[in-house]
Amino acid sequence: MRHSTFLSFVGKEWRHILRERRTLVMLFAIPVALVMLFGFVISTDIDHTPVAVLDASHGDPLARRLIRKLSAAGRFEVVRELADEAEIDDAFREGRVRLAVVIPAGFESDAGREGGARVQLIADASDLNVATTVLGYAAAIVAELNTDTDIQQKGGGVRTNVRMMYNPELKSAYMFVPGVIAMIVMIVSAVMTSVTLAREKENGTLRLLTVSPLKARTIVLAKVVPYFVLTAINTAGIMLLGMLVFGLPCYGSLWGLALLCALFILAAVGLGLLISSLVRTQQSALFSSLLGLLLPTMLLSGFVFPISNMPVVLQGVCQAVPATWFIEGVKALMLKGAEVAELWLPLTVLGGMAVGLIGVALVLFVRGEKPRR
Amino acid sequence: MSDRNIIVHRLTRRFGDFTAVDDLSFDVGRGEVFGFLGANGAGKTTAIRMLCGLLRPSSGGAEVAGFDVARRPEQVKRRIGYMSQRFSLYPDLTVQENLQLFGTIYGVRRRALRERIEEMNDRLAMEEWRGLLVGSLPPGWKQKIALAAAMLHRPEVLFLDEPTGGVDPLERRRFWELILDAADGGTTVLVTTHYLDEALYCNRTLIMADGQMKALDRPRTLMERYGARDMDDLFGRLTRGGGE
Repeated sequence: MRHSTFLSFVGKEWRHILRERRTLVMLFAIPVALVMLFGFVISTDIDHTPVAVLDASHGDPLARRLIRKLSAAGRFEVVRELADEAEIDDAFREGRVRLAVVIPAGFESDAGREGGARVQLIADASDLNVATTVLGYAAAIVAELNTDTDIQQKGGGVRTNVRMMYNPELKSAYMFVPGVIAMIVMIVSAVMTSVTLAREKENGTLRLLTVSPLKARTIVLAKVVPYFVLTAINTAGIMLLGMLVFGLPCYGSLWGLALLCALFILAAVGLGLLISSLVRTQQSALFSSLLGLLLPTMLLSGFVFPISNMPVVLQGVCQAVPATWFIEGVKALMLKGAEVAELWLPLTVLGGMAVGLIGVALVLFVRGEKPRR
Repeated sequence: MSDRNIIVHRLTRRFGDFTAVDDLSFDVGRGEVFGFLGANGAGKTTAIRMLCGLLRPSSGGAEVAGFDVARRPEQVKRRIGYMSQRFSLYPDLTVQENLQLFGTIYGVRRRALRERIEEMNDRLAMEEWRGLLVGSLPPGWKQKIALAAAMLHRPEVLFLDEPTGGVDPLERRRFWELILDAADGGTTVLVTTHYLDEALYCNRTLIMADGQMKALDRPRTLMERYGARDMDDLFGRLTRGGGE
């Protein structure tokens, strides 16, 4: 009996959601739009990259050959000749070049000798994907130079020495995907869950439920199910889109990823329930969840600002934001290929948060609806 | 069990220094329509909330459908129906869906529920509204559907907390026919209202002011006793008199 009551209640929640066509469309359209936008930003096909050359060998034959090879393939275009090291920074700052090639003095003679010569490739890593690709092209051209000539046979040759500027942490654009997912999860599960319970308070339908024999926990738990499912579908959609269309890698276990997402979504639903058990109107639910959840998710999770650069107090606050653990876990799994077992900490913390938040919300809600003394 | 479905004994509720319901005692019999009259803030709603098991009495107590409201609120809730003009059904669900939902919440089995909804359909002649969202119904129909939802599980006691606010007199009359039908079927009805003409539909009315019972009897008897021309007059005499 209780079982069928619960199910019919879950069914009612689904009807509420499905009837709000506009909201539903937004829920799926916004993430897709975000990911698409994203995909164009990180598009990786790069031609005619502007290059600055600092030739300290002052035009020895091997150096000229390297420069010619660089421009020949159409990948690069030498747009600037630099006179000394100090100009490298200026060239990048003006935004006119993406790669600087530094050829040392005595280039050709060094290349012929034991140990070889080193050509330095400096890339602007503020756009890491572009930088990586560009460096890859340049390194290939240097390697070709080695096989074209016979300098390698004498134990010499040209080696590359790569330097990344402006992004020493090497944050990739892919690193934003977990952050975007965290935001979507917060919007769909936390914000929507908080509003739905507040709506019942505002419309007075909650009163009809509390005079009924329905248990308060049934009312609350029936709200968890549809929002969990909805967010899970949404999250899976974003991930799939990222993987299929933009080649987002997932080096770790997909099941591990699913578990991580599930726990994070539950924690977010718990936050939503918590808010709605504390507020009276939909408007205050919306405000508190946007300000209280969305902002920390953006700013205090390592999504926008790296946590390690924050003051110690704020670092502590970050630990309390579920998204921090989620983003850390997703990065480790998808981008670094970590084992699920290595993620015991984020998984445990998120699981604890999910259970704790839903539990506290339940207690608060039940207490609020119990016969008052 | 006795033939009294509501037994109230010295029911009192205080909020801090303020006494919202002050030492209320009365009984209501099976099949009786019992009116609760009073201005806003007289304590009607507080009293009803205690009788529904939503609020604990500060002192005194009440039995509804044979169960103590403070000690066995779950048992009470199963046996009562509640309807108020302020607390509506789900506006984004259809009439049919709302009825099904509330029937299920009160534990009516599927087949019985289907039959009762059909029966309600015939009685209210609501066929044309069934597939429509409750939010799109005219106010009079909203109330009738809400009443239907509150009666699907055949409650022993029906609490109607200002059920007819904002409805025109003709609709109110139709609504009252439904209430009287339910009472004929043995349901006890406790209704609060500030439409004084509605008090005449009640078997007995209790007039409340400042949390206290000012009078309790058949409406006509009350009018005669206090020499009132009509209910309005009576109400004015009893409540404006203040004091006792």
